[in-house]
Amino acid sequence: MKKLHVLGLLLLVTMGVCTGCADSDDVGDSYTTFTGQKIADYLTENAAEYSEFIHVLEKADAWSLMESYGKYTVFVPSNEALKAYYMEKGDGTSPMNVDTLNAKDLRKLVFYHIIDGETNGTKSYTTFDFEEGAIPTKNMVGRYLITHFPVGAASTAWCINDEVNITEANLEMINGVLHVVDHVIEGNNDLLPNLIKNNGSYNLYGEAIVATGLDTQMMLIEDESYVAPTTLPDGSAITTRAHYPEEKKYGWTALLETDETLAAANDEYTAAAGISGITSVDDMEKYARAVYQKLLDNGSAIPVDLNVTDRKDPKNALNHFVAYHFLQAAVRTDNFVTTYGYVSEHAWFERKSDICDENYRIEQYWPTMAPGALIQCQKYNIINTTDNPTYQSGMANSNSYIHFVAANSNKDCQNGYLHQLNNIMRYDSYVENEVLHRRLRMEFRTFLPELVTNDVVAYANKYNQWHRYIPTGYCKNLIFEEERPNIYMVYYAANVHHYLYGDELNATGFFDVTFHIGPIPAGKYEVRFGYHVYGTAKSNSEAGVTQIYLDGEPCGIPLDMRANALEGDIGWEQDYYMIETYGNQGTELARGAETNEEDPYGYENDKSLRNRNFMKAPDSYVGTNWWQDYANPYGTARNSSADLRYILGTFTFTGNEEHDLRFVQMLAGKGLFDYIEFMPADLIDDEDQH
Amino acid sequence: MKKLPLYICLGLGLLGFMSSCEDKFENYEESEPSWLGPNIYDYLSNRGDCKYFCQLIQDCGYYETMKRTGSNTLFFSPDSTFESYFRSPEAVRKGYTSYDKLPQSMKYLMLRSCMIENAQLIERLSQTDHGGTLFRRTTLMEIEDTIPLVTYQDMPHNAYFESFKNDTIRMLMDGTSWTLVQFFPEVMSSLKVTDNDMKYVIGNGASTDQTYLFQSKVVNRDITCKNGYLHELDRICMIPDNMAGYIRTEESVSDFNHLMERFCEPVIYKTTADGQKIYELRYFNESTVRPHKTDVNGKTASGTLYFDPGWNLYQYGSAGANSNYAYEGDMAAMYVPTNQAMAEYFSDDLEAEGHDIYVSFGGKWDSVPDNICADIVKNHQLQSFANSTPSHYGTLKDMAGYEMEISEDNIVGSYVARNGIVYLINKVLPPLDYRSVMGPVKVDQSLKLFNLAMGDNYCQFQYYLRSLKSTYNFFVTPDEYMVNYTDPVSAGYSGVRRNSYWDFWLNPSTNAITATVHNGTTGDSIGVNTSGGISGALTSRLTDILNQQTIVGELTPGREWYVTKGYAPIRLIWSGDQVVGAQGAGNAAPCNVLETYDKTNGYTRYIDGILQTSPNSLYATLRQHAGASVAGSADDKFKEFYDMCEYCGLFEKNPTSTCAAIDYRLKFLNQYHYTVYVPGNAGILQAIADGVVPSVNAIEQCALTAEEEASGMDLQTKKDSLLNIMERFIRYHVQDYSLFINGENIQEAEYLSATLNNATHKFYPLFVTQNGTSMEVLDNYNYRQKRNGSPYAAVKVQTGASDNNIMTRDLIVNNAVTTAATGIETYSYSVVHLLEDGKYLRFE
Repeated sequence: MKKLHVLGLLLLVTMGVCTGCADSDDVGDSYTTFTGQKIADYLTENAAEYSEFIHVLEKADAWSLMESYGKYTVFVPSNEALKAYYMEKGDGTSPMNVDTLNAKDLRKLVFYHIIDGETNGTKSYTTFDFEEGAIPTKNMVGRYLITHFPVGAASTAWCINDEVNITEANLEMINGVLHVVDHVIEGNNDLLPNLIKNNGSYNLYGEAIVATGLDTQMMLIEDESYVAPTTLPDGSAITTRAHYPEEKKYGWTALLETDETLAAANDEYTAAAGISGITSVDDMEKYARAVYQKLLDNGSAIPVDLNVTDRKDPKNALNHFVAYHFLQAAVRTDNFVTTYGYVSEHAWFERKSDICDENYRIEQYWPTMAPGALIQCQKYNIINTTDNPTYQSGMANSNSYIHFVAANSNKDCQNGYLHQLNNIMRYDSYVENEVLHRRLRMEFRTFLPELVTNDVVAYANKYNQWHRYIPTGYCKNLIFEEERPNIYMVYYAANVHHYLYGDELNATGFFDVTFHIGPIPAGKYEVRFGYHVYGTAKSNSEAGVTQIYLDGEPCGIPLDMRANALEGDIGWEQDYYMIETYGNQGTELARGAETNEEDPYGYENDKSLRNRNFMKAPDSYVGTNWWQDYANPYGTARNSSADLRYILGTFTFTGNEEHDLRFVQMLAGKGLFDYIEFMPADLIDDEDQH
Repeated sequence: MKKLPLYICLGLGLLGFMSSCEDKFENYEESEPSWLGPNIYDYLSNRGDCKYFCQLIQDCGYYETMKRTGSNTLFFSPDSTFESYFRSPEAVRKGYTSYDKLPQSMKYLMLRSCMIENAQLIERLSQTDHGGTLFRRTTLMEIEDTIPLVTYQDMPHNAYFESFKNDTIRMLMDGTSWTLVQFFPEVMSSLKVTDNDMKYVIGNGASTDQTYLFQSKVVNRDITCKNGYLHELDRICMIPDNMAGYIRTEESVSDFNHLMERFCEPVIYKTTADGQKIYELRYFNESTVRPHKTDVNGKTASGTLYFDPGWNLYQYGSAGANSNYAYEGDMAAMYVPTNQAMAEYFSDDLEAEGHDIYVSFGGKWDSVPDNICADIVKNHQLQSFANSTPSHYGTLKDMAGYEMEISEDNIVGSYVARNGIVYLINKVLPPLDYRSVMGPVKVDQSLKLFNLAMGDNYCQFQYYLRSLKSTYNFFVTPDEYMVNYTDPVSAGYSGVRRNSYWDFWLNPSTNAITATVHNGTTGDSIGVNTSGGISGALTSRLTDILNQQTIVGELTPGREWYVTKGYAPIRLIWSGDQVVGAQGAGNAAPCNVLETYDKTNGYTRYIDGILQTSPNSLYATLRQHAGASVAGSADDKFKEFYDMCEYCGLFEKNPTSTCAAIDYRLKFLNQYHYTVYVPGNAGILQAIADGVVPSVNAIEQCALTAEEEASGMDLQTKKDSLLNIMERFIRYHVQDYSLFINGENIQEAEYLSATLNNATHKFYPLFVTQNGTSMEVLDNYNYRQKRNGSPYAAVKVQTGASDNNIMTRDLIVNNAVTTAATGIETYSYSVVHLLEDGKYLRFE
């Protein structure tokens, strides 16, 4: 019956289209429907160069797209490009006959070259919109087009998917933008393990993932059993801004050194392993054993056992070393680190990059497939360093840091990305005892890789698709039961709100939410929860009262998330000096808050807040306190009485383990989960306000 | 096979279209397709084992329908199932021991409840017309097919039925349509019911790939006849009772039913043409779709359930835009404790969870007020069968949103009713509040004031106390002792209002807490205060009391001093390991502990008074010992320290423009608890002599040196600098956290002082040891000495009775003028200890 309806609908649509065409013919010269040139017009006028693409478009029944209104971005292969493609796909002696392909296959070929901005609520893209990474909107077959700007190239000569060059850019038509390219753009239909094996530069890792069995863990593409709810929790219709993820794809990311880089390895671990470079899987295992030997000798709780010889065992040194090079999320390089500079187009964030990105470390963390081992990353995609790198020309190619090799990264496939690293990445003593022995401030989405893989996070939602409801079971580390219409969770993409990295995760109603968080290196930590208060006082707040548990233990008495920090039992005070560099001294940001001249930097207030288990939000990111304060773009979250950290307690973790952080409502209401902090107890005395 | 019927439909549809063009229909009247079976009646008749069912069809007037016409779906059962039924206790009780003895109404019930309009396969029966899951459906059964005559004995027992004492009335158990409950494979898959769930719902051996109508198994499905489909059952299908009906008649849960039926009444369903009234039984409930909160007399019900357990067409939300909420998609669930479970809960056994209710109401359920009974009954109701099956145990929440502690071991039986499932359980599931330290307060009628104070209209304290995994010691004051509360705010008033005291009482007409305000000297009444609400003045005082009377955490036998949730010091009196008294700093004598209840998250202790906070500010306390120059001073043991504080300007009246201290407050204290170590006069003089701090005279008389003058320094800058040294010296004698002699035992525990290390931006620490009878402080200077292996010494706290554990409270009221204040803005508690003679604390 369903099919009948679809057929009926198609019939009606077809009839409508036909009718429309007939009407259009009738209007004669009375109306001007189009002004200027459409993409179809341009291609027709220049048929000598693009006749093959026109032919394919027609055969694919897609020509009408080029004639219709819209915001298309079209990459047009020249006749030469298409002929070369036919030859490549031919039998070796004669080219493929495109006329033998059916419309479905042809559409796949054609649609790979077209981004439909109108349907996606965005725009058509000129090369001036391109950034290293990918065009933010998927093409018409649902894949991202990877953009890279080759060193020394002409201003618009971007490279698409690493193999295709734009030869003529930014031909703007009334229904979109056209770029001429020198090759046909093809997507890679491999799975990640095969992409690695077939690449040619990663033969060692290709062997290693087979030896460790990690390849078999990365064979999935999509959870077919996931069905997106068709209405919102309250039963209302899905809107352009609020909806559920449409699909649930699996994804992984490989961060690999090439065979060449491995072969050139010459460091303390090659010396300890007695090898001269890494040129075989056996070498790699020796190298890994040397790394973990030192780590374990230094008292690490990393779950590696040097007595385990089975390479398929996660405790095996080789297995752990290789697994550390894989993220359980499909992450492009432009998604690897979130800075503040592009979370929103709104004016009130205009200084966000000045205040935050340029002054403070932006550290984020990625759990890996290696148990108990995190990767730290900072702006400019620098990996695992204690430095606070500020931008220097050429740093992306500097060997001082581990980073991506841009030209050979973002290799995409059906279920992930492959990026090249310039140097060997390893979870060693330096990483565990120095890089990660600091305040670990982690957004809740750190633990929800499905949100990245499925574009629920910021970038795909940059254009006003704010709300993504997260159904029960969508994220393996987020355990809760949706109960429509009362209990549900929603993720707000980084756009307009002033939370850490701009995004937020909300739960509503009488929720009972558990986050599976970590892994965190073993040690003694003060654990804090960063949240936002809804409303200006308990009496008008939408929030609730929440009992928090860490690993099953209650963290004090329930937290009244309704209470604005200005209320007496929290005792927050506005700093007299807001921030040293940019602040207008004494400006009253938080409503009604008086400043204390005798405690100009708020040290006393910090102490008294801590006595009551609270801390001000950090001053390393922009925060404001309701819309009227947005007028002043200089305020940081420290100056927001609606943003707080709640100290859950001091905990000792004996292993590099994951933990359960549970929030149970005592009084129904909204809960906003922004971030969690693990502060090593020995560093608290020297902690800054950032 | 499954697809065949679809082809039939399509074929028929196609034929329909074609027949309008070419009249070939007659061909089919003469010859039938070979795959079509006989008509329904003939099929049953030909089987030979369905004589009773054929007779039923004839007796109910459906012979023609089943023989020739219609498009029907029928669930039938063979003769053996009838025979079994005639032998069943229910049939024997009713006298239905043979077919001949079945009344006509019963025959209608047996047949019509199994008939569904239109010919439908099991798979199609699992879907609504819109493609949604169809778990429940109505049948051809008419509500008025059978209207029971109910005698008084069979009526619920409550006041609403008193007037029918000698009557028999016609009363429907509910006035909405009956529904079939379809445990069909497609439905179970959609509702995510597991095989293990089916074990508890249907019984052992049941699984989700089998087909059940209620608890009857479909043993032969989708039998195709000319005029419809047949589905064979393994027992007679008669639509069972609704949940209320089952609970009312099931003897093993009669005690629970006794409580539940308090909340129902007969309402008129219709009046017949001859004037006869037909009633419908309705339960008072608060559901959004079919609420019933007011009785037939227009009076608000004394208690309401979450939903009406008798409502045949039960649904938990309006169908509206989302059809999932309609009755078809789900049904209700009730977990009903057996009589034995009720007896174990409501017992004089101290271990029994309902012991406090038992004691409060003389061991009689009938004495327990309706609101409490309603709370208990409705906590056993759950809105969704699908979301409350055993596979949800561990995360299952009650309808208030709190965890339900239930396991498969607790289920002793189940019954699929027409509107929900009833699980019989071997435990009572009281509302969370009753299990917490709030429980006794909620049930004890002598604690009405405290009960109200905890609630939404006043302090909203229940949200803290609900946390079952925290531990509380909750000191509660029965209504009769809620008197003589010294209003701390009134210390800032003038005239007769100054130092007034309040007596709290319950206004019975408004059910609001009221306080009569008395002149503190004469005792005369000078007004009342009724200002509740979350920010009311009365609420401000009640919050202060609740904070003062709640200790978070475990108690240690013998330990006297604790800090409460509101940071106030509280002294406990012990007899062995029992708390027998409690005293606030403002109480002249301890209050006695009258009763103690051991609850899931701590202890509820009744006391015969209100724990009062200290009426003395730190300022007043120091001043009281500031020497002869200060009026009213008893002695001069704090003189030098007080003078320095004054000289540095550390006491302030108005922390902000909108509030004021009652007298003065130490300005760097916040809403928290502190310890102040006061060096004696000799100690201060020693510090001056050691060059650690300048004297007042030295600052007053200081002059610039030649070099300072040459550098351009002015005299005031130099004075300010010396003053700063003095202030930092004083601040180092004040630490966060109240520490008492005979408080928490600690060994060189680190605390932060109020003096900032300007280099590190951290506060200097000090290290305290307390062993129950004495206390000593290792200052930062000596701590470093010790760490470096150099000579060091800790400073002892004086042990004289009046030299330590001196309790103070700096109170800030909500107006810049204390006489105009109505409530408490903020406060800090400090405990003052005098240091041993000649000693002081130094941070560097």
